Amino acid sequence: MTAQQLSAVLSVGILVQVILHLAWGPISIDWMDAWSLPDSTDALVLFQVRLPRVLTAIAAGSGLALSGLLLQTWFHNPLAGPSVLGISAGSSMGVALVLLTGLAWGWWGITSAAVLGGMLTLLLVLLVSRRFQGSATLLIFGLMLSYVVGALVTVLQAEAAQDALQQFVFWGMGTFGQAPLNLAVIMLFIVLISWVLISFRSRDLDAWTLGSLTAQSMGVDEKKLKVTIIGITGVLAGIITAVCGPVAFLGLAIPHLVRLMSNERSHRLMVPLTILTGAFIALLADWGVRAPGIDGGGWPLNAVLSLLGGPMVVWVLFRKTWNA
Amino acid sequence: MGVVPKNLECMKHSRVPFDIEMDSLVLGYNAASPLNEPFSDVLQGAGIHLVIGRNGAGKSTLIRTLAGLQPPLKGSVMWEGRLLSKSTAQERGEGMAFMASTPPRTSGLRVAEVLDLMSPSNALRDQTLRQVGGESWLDRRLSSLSDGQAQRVMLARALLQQTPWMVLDEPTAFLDAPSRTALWETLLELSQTGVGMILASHDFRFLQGRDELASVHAMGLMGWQALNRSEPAADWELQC
Repeated sequence: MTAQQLSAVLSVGILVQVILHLAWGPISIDWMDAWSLPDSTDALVLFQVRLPRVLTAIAAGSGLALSGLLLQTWFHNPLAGPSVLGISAGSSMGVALVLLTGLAWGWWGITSAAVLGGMLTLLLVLLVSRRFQGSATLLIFGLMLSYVVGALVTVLQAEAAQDALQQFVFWGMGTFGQAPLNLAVIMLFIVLISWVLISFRSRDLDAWTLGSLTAQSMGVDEKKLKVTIIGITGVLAGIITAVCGPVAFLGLAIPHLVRLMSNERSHRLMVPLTILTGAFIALLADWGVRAPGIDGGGWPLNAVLSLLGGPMVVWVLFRKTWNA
Repeated sequence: MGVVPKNLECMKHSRVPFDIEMDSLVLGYNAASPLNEPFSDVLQGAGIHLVIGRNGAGKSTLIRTLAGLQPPLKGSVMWEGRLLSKSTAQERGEGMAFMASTPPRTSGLRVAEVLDLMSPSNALRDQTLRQVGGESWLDRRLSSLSDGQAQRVMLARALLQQTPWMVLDEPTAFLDAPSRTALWETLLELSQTGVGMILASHDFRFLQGRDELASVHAMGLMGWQALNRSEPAADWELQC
């Protein structure tokens, strides 16, 4: 499929899913009433429940996918992603610290802690990555980082009060359904700004795939590119983790899905395609969460994403081995 | 300097190679284990400046340091009398093109996309690719080419940067014998277009007795040392 065809299909797919997600649910709503009567149940369900959920899914899917693509390009590593490199774990640590110790409550406290935790972890990964020769070492470092941070979180959990613990465990399952409308809109806005910022750097990112030294010899400013990538991935992964929980697989798997569906590798096309595919898949995965939940609690988002994403990553690994 | 071959007319440089001054330069990655004693020298003028030395002597490190891709442990490098450490990434990109010893293995870009990152026109891009023997690869992915083919694409990319200097780190390391001969011929022809080339290579017998050879230096136990460029290549090796 050409990039134009694929983006058209994805855009239509996103639009159709948005309409279906807004229309479908245990309570049927009248859209005209929801629009004209702001105090009605219809309006409440549409604007306080379904719309924030749809916008959160779009922002989280596209934001994590973009983070994954940027990390894969920066580290020259096809298996890099915010969850693989421990960035999501760092954000979780931030959230655990404020939530379980009772230091701060509310969205802003949690979000700032998650962004800070994610960014600090990414800085640590960047710092040690200079010492690593092979791409496997970096991944193992990310894995170890996740274990250590996970253990610290467990210790915090053991010490935590009952209600804080319950809130944290629920957060850890991941969901698109918890953010209020204003936060969902802010997230979407941040994804759009990141998209604009990175689109100015698509030539630099393409040059970076030729090797960091070659790219720098072509006039790419390593520091500027690094700051852009840390800034964007840290903020995106942090805020999405704070709002939706540590969402698995999207960051790692979506760029590969784009590479499978399209023949394009230049970032000028990869960036928009990755953003669209991320939004599409997140909306698709949310059916797995919402559909079984019609009579009960629904499936946790991370379970649905792992069931989808795990086999996909294994498939990418096999394909790599066969091609080599 | 010979006559510029006709197929390379378009490559002729408007900027002449500037002087590259090395002042009390100490190379390496770790201050505790420098690669060499401090040395000072100037590389001047068009043609091929060959750097030879045993494995691990610091040829690649020198190449990177001269291109501004790695800071020296001590001392400084100056381009046109200006400190390289004070230059911007863009200025470095306009002054010197770099070709690494290993071709990129993870880039999925097509050959045309790689060259378009630098090329001002499709005509020049196609002509340069033809020059390295890759005219049929335009739509191939870089990752689908062999190491030797990918390395020739990277040479074409460096040529398209149209800088007064080029630094090449073991450019023939991945090439088969016929491609190696062809690449040396291309490099020798290029050196007549007025470009300055700093070349680290073990495979230098093609240069023996050639007018295009501007200087020969050895890096090794004796430190940085100028060699007699009209000596037989076998004698250069003995002095490493």
